[in-house]
Amino acid sequence: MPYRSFMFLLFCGALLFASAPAAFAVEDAPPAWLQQAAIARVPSFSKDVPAVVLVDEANVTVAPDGLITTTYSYAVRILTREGRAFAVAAEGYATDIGRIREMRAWLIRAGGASVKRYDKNDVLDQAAALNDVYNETRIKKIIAADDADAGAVFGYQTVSESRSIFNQMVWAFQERIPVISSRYSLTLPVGWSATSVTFNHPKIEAVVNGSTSTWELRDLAPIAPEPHSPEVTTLAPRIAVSYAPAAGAAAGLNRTFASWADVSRWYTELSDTQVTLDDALASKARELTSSSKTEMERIRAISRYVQKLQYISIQIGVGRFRPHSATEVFAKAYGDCKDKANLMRAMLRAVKIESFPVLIYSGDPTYVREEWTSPSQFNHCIIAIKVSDETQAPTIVQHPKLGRLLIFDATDDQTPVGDLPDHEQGSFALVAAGADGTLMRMPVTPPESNQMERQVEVTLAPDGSLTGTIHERSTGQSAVDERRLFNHLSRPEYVKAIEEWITRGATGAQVSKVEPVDQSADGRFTLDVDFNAQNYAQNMQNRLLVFKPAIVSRRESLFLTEPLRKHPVVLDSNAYTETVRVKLPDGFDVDELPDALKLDTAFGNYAASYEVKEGHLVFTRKLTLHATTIPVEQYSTVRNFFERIRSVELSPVVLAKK
Amino acid sequence: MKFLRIYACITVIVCLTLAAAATAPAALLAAGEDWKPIDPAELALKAPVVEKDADAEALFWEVRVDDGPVGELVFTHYVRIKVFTERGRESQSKIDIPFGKIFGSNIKIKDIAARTIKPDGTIIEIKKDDVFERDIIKASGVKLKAKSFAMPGVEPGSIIEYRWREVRPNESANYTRLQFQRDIPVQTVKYYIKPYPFPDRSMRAQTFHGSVATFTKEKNGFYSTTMTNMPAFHEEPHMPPENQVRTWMLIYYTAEDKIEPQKFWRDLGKRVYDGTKSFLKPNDEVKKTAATVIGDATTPEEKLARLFNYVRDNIKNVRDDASGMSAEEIAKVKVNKSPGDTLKRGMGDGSDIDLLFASLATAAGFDARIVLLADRSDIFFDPGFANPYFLRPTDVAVKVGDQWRFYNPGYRYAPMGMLVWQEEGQEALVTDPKEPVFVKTPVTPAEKSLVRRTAKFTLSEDGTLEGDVKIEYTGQLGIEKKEEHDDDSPAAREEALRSQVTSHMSTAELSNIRIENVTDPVKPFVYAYHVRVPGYAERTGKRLFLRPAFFQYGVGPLFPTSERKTNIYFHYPWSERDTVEINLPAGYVLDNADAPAPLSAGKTGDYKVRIAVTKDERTLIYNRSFTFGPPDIILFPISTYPALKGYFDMLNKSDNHTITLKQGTAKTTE
Repeated sequence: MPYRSFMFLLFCGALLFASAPAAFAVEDAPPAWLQQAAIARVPSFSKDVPAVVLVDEANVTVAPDGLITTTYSYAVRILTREGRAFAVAAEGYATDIGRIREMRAWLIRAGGASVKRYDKNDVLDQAAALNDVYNETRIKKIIAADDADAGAVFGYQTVSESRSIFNQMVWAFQERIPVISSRYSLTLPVGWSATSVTFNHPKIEAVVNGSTSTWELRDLAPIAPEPHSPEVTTLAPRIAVSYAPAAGAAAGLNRTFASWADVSRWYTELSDTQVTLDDALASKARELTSSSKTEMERIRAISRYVQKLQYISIQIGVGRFRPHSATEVFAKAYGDCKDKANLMRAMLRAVKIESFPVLIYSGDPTYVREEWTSPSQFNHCIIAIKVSDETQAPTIVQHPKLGRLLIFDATDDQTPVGDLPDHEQGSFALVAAGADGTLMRMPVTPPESNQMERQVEVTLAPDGSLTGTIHERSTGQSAVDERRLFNHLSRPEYVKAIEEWITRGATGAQVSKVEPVDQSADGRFTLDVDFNAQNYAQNMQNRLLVFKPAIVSRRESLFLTEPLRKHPVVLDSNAYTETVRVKLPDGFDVDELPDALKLDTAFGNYAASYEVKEGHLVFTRKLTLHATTIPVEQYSTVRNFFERIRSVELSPVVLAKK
Repeated sequence: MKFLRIYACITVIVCLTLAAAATAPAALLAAGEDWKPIDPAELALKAPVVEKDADAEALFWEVRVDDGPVGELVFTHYVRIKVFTERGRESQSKIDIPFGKIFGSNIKIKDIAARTIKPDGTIIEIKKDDVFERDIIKASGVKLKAKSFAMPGVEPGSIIEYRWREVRPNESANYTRLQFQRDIPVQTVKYYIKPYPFPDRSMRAQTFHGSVATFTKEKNGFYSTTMTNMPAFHEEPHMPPENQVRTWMLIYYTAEDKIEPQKFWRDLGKRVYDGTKSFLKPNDEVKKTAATVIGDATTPEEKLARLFNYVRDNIKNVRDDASGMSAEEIAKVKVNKSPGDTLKRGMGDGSDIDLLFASLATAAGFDARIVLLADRSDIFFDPGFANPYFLRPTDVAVKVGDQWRFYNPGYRYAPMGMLVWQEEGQEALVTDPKEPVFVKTPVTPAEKSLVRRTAKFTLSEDGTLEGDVKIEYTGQLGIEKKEEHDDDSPAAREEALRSQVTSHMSTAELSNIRIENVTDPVKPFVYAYHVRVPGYAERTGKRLFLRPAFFQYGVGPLFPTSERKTNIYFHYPWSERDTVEINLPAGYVLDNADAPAPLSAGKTGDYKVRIAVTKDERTLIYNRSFTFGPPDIILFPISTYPALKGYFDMLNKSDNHTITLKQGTAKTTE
């Protein structure tokens, strides 16, 4: 490449600049609805609200042949520099069943000074799930963030067509930013009917005008993110609409579901034929279980194999719902959640254990609602295994018709049989078992199943240096956290992570041993660490030694730092105990100990105590938290609970020279 | 405002060239050739060879780079990987090969083949249908796609291998970067390169951070070079820039048979001078402005300062986040073709402003030049490599007396006499019609990159600390703070400050927050706030334990881990000065107020703490000063890591120094 002279640079710059205006679309008047929205007065919001939605409206028309045409209109006012990120038009579609016919956008600059129009040349069309090897769901976007300034109004309109597998739709009235007006209108062929269910809000009644039903909410306040709050999908109002053709309309139109048993039948029909079994697969199942003596051991052996298969998602057509055949997944040794659940069903069948697919929502345990019978509520597939009385585990539920079912997630390779990821615990899920299938509540494991026990043995020298060992033993979801760290990091990275944890409590500590043992089959994880730290205790005037007996932090800490809060606090179920035995240095007596602390609340308990015995200081702390959603009115109680724990765990012990 | 310099458009061009190599494990089997035989020893391999804890290791990684006369650049890739652990299985099982229209290139992917060899020797080959082509993004003029596939049946002990051809029509291998390290270690990396048969130019290769490559003549016009036992590339905190750590090779064409660096730079400096002098030539308006601005200034420093301040205060940088221009205004900006245009329009980009400054200085009788400089955040420039690849026309040099001084008025936050850290401590080529010279740009001394923190608190008997805080950042620290915040709204700035404080002091409640001079080019960046911290001091039955180093409370050691693989690098020297005054609670008196010992690291670091009490014993005054870095680039060899870590550990320990208050009554003053 020749040397780039200034001339050349300027030439390049000129090219760039010259091309820029050409890339901008021509000026054009925005539609009336957008102009109106732009001049409407909006209430004032706190300064951290980046943008406000002025219009969020879908007009949906269903044709007699099931074709759905949606005209979607959206307008947002940018309030801050960060709000520019909201000047984006985004509309998803599935290439096999839908298309976006038209997408136009406008930016009305502050005060209506000028308007920029965006057209098809500005449209980005991108894969919705970048991690999937293949997925037909895509998004069309117009990104106007770089053109927008605070005070501008960005609006867009799309016209799209699609064919749904179900006669059901969901409309969320809000995400996190405030909304002035959100409206959903559904126009059906004459004689058709629609019903709706409202979530996270008092019932929203439709206004019916001819064959059009309209649901609307106005003036929705922002939903600010808060630590340990319910997911926004549990806070923002939404409706689910089901519609049905007139009695006697042509068959073959989209499905409707009158009951959960209907949904169960649908998914059973779709998936049962994929539980295929050939000789190779059957013999693999038998080989895996050949040394298993009990039902649980057989399940565990197969579960380990399936969980270790590579997670790969390939979503084509009906494959979004139907798993690949078990023999195909076995041959390729990869698949997604439903593929894995389905393969496990086939392998269990080979060893005469019956099982059922379970549809669940991963990410928000309160997302799925009983009152709306729809497969659209689910995004994940796990498995329910019919077990005899000999099998015991905290994740067994009693099904009214199918009996005892062991619930298991074959995708989460950190959570073994007998446990369930905490974001799935307590949620509604559909056990798909034909006519016997039902929606049922998933199990919640008790705190003692998710326990971490830590033993710390240290010797404190008169110069303040410390030598000691840490032994940790975790179970359940506490072990999952440890296991995930261990499995996702290489050995050197893991050792570094442990070193960082130790040195955060004891500056300059040297870690001489890090021995993790993952007993994932039993749901346990143990960790042994040897370390020493110079100057751990501070020597004061050569007569006092001051140190904190809580040498290392609990791995998970909850910091509710804000004085006020708007939403409930969600706690997971877990328990933690620690005993620290400090051999005291010769020539020193304990001069002062922190006060013991005992806290008992409905959501959890805590106890910390100190004892001097036979030349040792014994410090114990025990925290138990129950899976609870604590109403916001009790926020000060829960904040105070954790603040008192934090305070006591920072308290030092004072030794004085004899 | 981001660190964007004159060379933005060139960077794009370079990136395009580099993308060819960066995307790819590449290797070499022509289409139709079969897989290489599997050595049973490879299948039996139980542990990695290059790095003992690796989860997977490339047994070989071969790339054939064909820049032959066909008019297209072809990379043929072949990589064979041994998987040792479940982590290795997970990280290596899914392959994405991007292609499509990317910045004017139209990359095509052909002849993908992949297979898994299971530990028992069973081979599973992917079928044509298993390769999915998907659009990652489609837009006007851009279409980025990927060929994606999953390796079947992978388990620990498996070998996976795949190969493909990447075709780039109408492209050359000139200035292509060839990587020799991946995210996993590699036993053997081999590049086969077939240069374009220029009649008057030949291909050269320059290795960075590795042994000098030797080439072997192969069949069909290819030359090969091999490196073995290449460790994985790992990132570490405070490491030199990636290009300064990785092993990589730059290939390029040149007409020179033997390049003598001194002569090369001399010729280049002359050529650039000739090419740029017309841009510095002042027109009448520039001359008039220079005379007006300089006015009654007499010394060269004074004159240059007036010119510098003039351009920065009067010429709007349209690429500056803090310009205050709307997106619409920026979109309408026209290109300046000369400093006269920049002056007339009162706006331009950073390079326009630099050129105008140089032109004004020329008009005032100064000898002003364009300076070619490398970016220290990319690589430490070495003039021994006689090639302009890393240099960009970046700053302006003006001769004052017999010294060249460097200026960058186009960059809003670099005050007169200072460059942004990426440009400091680098060899700058000062262009000249006769004798261009390399001059090292100065590094801002630690005293000028200062954070000055002051606080006045009252401590309550229950351990709550409450009071007012002010923090001022100057020099490079100030620039970084301004860059961090200048694109944020006031609310976002406040939120960032709250998060920063509560991340190491969870109970802190901030109020009356003021964040000042965020976009001011000269004044220090300032945080000021009122803070209340319940439980700051720890209370026992008869004592309160207080850490007076408020600003370091809860901050962990800088180097928490004992292992280190790379040299240790700090961007610039800096200093810290803290003063914390704490009114003590009634009912408590100081039990001890001894200060931690000073910590000296020779010329590199100096840490001192002084703790004093007012006469009435009611107020504790804590002074902390810390200076780090010699007046040069701060780069420590890895061998010094234990000592450096030990120093920062001691510093952290001293920052956690606790003093004791005991119950009692203080003496009263008269």
